[in-house]
Amino acid sequence: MDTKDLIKNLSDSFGVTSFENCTFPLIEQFLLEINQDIKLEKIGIGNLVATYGQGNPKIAFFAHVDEIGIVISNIIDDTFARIEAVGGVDPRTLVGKRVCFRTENGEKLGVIGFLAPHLQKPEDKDKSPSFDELFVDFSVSGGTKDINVGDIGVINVEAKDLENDQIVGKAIDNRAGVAVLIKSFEYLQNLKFDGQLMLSFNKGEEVGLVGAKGAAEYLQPDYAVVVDVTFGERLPENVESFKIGEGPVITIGAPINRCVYDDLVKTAKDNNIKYQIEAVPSRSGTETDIVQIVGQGIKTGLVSVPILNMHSPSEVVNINDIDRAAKLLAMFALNMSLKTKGSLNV
Amino acid sequence: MRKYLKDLTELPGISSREEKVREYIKSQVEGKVNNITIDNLGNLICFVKGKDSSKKMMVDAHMDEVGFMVTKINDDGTLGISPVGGVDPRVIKSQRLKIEGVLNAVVNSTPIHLDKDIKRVIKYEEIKVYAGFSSKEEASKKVNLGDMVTFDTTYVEEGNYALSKAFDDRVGCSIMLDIIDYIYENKLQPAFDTYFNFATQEEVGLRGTGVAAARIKPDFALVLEGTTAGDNPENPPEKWATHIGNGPVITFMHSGLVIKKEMFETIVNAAKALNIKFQYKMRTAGGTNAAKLAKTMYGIPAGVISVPCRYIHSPLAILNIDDYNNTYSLVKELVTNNERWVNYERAH
Amino acid sequence: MKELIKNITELYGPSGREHEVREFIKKEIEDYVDEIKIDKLGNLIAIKKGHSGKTILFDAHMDEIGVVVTHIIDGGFLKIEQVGGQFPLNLVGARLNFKGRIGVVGIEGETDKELRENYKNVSLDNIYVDIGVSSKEEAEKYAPIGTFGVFADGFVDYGEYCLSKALDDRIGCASLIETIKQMKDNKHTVIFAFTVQEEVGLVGAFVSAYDYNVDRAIAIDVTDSLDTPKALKRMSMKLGYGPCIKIKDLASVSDREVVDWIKDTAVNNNIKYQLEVLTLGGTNAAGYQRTKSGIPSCTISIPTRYIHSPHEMICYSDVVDTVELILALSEADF
Repeated sequence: MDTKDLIKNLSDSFGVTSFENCTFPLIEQFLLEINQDIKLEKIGIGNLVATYGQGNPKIAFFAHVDEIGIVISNIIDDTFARIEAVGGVDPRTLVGKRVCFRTENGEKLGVIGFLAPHLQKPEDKDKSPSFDELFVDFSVSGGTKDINVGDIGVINVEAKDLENDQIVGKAIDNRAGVAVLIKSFEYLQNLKFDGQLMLSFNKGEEVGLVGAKGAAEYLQPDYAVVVDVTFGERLPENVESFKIGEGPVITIGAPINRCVYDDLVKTAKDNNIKYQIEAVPSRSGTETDIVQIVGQGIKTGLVSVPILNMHSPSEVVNINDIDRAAKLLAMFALNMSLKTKGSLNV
Repeated sequence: MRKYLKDLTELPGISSREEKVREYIKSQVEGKVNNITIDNLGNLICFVKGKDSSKKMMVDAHMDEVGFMVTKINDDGTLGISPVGGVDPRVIKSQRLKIEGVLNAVVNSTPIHLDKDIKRVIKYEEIKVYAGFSSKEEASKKVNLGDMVTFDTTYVEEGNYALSKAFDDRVGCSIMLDIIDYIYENKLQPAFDTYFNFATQEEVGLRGTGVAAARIKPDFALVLEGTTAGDNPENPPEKWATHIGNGPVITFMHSGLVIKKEMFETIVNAAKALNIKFQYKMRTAGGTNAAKLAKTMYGIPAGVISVPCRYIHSPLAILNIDDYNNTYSLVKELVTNNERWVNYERAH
Repeated sequence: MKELIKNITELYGPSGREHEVREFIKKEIEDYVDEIKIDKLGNLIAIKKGHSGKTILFDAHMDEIGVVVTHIIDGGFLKIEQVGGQFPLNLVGARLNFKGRIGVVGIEGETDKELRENYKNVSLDNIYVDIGVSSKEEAEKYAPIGTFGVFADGFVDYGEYCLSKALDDRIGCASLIETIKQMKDNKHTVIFAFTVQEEVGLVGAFVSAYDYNVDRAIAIDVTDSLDTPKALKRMSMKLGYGPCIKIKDLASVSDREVVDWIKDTAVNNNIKYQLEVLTLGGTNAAGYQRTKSGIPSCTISIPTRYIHSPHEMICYSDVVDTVELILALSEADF
């Protein structure tokens, strides 16, 4: 399976929080292409779980499927409507963009326009619009008569190639994670993995880590690894920064079980997989924070794919990092199963 | 009584790195309790069989203290740190620290001669911790990302006062150890089947206690804390949370939770019955593991009893020893005397 | 239903001290339900069994916002902190009820300038409560530290509209009580959860469904009504246009399948409804999404003016329509 095609398809898929069902069929299709012998089910609030193999150890990989977006909150008149964020949306990223809404009657195009410089007051040039000032113009798609409060939309862009194995697209947060899970399943086909692997594609991360909590509670794995994205930008002076293209980021810190961190690092070293390290003092901001403390506690780790421009329609990822993370996860699963069977001395 | 307080407060143990504290506590309770369990989050659960086995009581105090984690190793060998739990950056300028409880380190402080603006707050982004290394390579030999950094503080006791770091919440742990000793040495049984939970990761979001409770499945709980006083000359009395010297603190409400009426009254009545001077927590800000327990499984009602301390979440906190003793007496009474719970049980 | 709404809104029931409300509701419903229980936190849970094999849960919280006494100053004046989200401005000029003792709010200001500043920026720090006593000792008799206070204003019936304190969320409780009394031969098993401490952290709703296998959970609460002069322009809810089906607020995004099910049921039964996007606040639906493996959840909201003030206002027909909608959902397939 070509990683570039995989991530581009996933990126283009519409799956804003509460509409993850729109992306699930694509994920199911990719998984079945790899191996028909998986059990697919929906659990809890509707997370998609794919189960492969049986017995021990039970290993679960988590990746949230939902992306941030916008929702119509009020219709102003025949042409214009007001919007609200779904998840953490920077209103500045919406200015001058085409947006695409999912309505009862299909897709509907709108524009978030901006007053031309000629008509602006000098003192307004330094003010950034907030959600209270933004509006959507539906002139090019027949006006507001067929759009309703509650209709959900995304910025209308397509994934494209950049230089040096990089892709730019929307929703790389967290379709990159979804891609890692799918590719790790592919890698595992060539390994003698003797345990149960569960891939949990979760809903609702962007609005409170909602899906992962229920999924973890239901699955109760022996080991869990959450896959998400992290920042490839320069961070404040007192924390390590990461570079895209330098490998997945393995996290150590409060929401991580030390033994899982140690195993992930050892797996990376033993298999010559490039990696970077992140120390998290309290919260990681990912599903890890909730998975670790579900029920009687789950041994949890976090692997992140570094990206640029998080939470904008122009997120950038290096596909080699996706492949490296996938290989890391597959080898980790193999090592855990060998350890459990007593054939690996660690 | 109080024989463990010095050791407990001097041990290093930030959230998720409580292992040294846990080992110490485990070695002190071995042989004195019926069962010891360590769960996936590192909670240390000590079970003591009670007189009435129809109910399970959980007594909870957290082992973790606030501190820092090494989050960067700079090219010049200095370290970047991030706070674990709420530590105001203003208390750490020029402070002495310990890395992994072993390596000495200091927070570098720009000399007054060279600093143009001494009114400026130095934030974590700029803070550099120096342990004597002169390069990243050298530092990386002895320090790792994720290493624990704690205040370098030694315990002092004089007259009726004690001074140390981490009274929040080693004071709660100390009281639990004292009660376990009391029960063991006097060959007694607690009122109900009792689980003493030495919890982890409270300071970073009440993360450990729910996991322990999921294993214990208690009917109710008592949460022991070291709580804020705020009674200093810069803070007017109506803004004090508590006053050290006014006795154990009984909470009626804090962040995220109103204490169940019947539980609150049970604790107040026990204090009155013992003629212990007590006080109410007079600010509702700040939370405890009780808020997490209320939202765990079927909902575990918890009461909160605290020792008031000045300057918590800093390198030096102060408590009044009478307050400690009276808090111990109050909690001991609630743990060992079934009569205190008659009205509570009747209401259910 | 007006008598019920009047009686239930006038009860004293701040977060954590819902006893009176729970007793009242229990008496109203116990003869109409198959099972009734009070859990460890004080949630009141009632069940009407059905035969479809599916279980739906409706939630309404019993607690109202209030204040709590944290200090008593010389002279017998009280310092208070909030219980739930209070706009300090709403406390000035309001009458507060401290378990039978009326209190009024005064603003501090030792100089002209300070007084004017404080009037412009009212906060819990620069106000105090006067309960008509002259000493600290006397104050301690009526409202010792730890006493909870609620708004004292009573119910006003305008006919089409109703005004009262605590419509948030006694109107939800009243809707469920009326539903229980009218519900006969329900298809699905219906659990009615009257929950505690919503206003201080959605506490009760995180645990009320723990002992049950619930297929869908719906919170009945209030939402903003934007049909007043120069109201927030980004939202669309109005009085009189029917119960609101919530798409999202700051605490949760509703399960879209549940939203569609409620919408279809409203359409099929000719019940007015609105779709709601709330840009602030949250409801108990967030608690049910996080219960055990997660329950697909949504909120049905009754549009309300002046939420969290001493005088909230609803449109009576919206409440009637809400009851009809809940009854229809207990029959609607999914």
